[in-house]
Amino acid sequence: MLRCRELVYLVTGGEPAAVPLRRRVAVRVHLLMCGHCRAYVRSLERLRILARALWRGIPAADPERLARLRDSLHDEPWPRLDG
Amino acid sequence: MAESQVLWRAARAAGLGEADAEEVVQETLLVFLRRFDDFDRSASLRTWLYGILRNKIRELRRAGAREQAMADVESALDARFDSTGRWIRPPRRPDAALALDQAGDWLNECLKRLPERYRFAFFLREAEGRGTGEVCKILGVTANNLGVILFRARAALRECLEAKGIHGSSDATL
Repeated sequence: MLRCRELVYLVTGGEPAAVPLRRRVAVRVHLLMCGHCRAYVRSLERLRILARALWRGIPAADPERLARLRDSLHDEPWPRLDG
Repeated sequence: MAESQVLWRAARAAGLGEADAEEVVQETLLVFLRRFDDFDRSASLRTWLYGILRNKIRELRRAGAREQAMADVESALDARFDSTGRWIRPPRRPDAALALDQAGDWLNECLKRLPERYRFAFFLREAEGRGTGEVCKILGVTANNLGVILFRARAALRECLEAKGIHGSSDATL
């Protein structure tokens, strides 16, 4: 069973292509069950969105443009957890 | 030049090791060469050089402290889990409204705490979306090194933003 700490190391590493399929599935399953880890993954996603927004000059207080930016992130390393 | 000997001794006296002393003296001389025209000839050259040296030593120490902080990122992360790998200190819930207004400024502040190569690696990979192979080439590091650099940069930035109250919510717009 995947532990929270392990998951955090995997997702912070940010290179899922380098992670075996079995582990990637384990990440997904773990995220279904663990709210803390979901919050952690979201915080990493938000960091990427913020970083791109910052460097593209989008003010963080512009939620619509940020939402569009979020949707345009085609290379998101870990599964989105909107549902 | 004799002044460089004097500067080197001063840097050593300030507690720097040989390699660091050499680096700050070199940097000081470069500033001297670049800004020689600004030098007020009626003032003491040595005092001017000492002033530059002091700034360079301060910069080096700040960079050293930033590097050290990055080496501690893993232990800070580990401290959030118990011995079985479960959360002791889970991600904090943010104040979403506040976060939206300030998030950009805060990220900027957090980025300033990173050593330069961490910031650059993070920028190339996350903001520019460049491939790892390309980033390795640009920075002149191995894939393993880059992995460590990016891991630490993300963990440090995430932690820094969380401390400012941004991360963890399930429903914020960001």
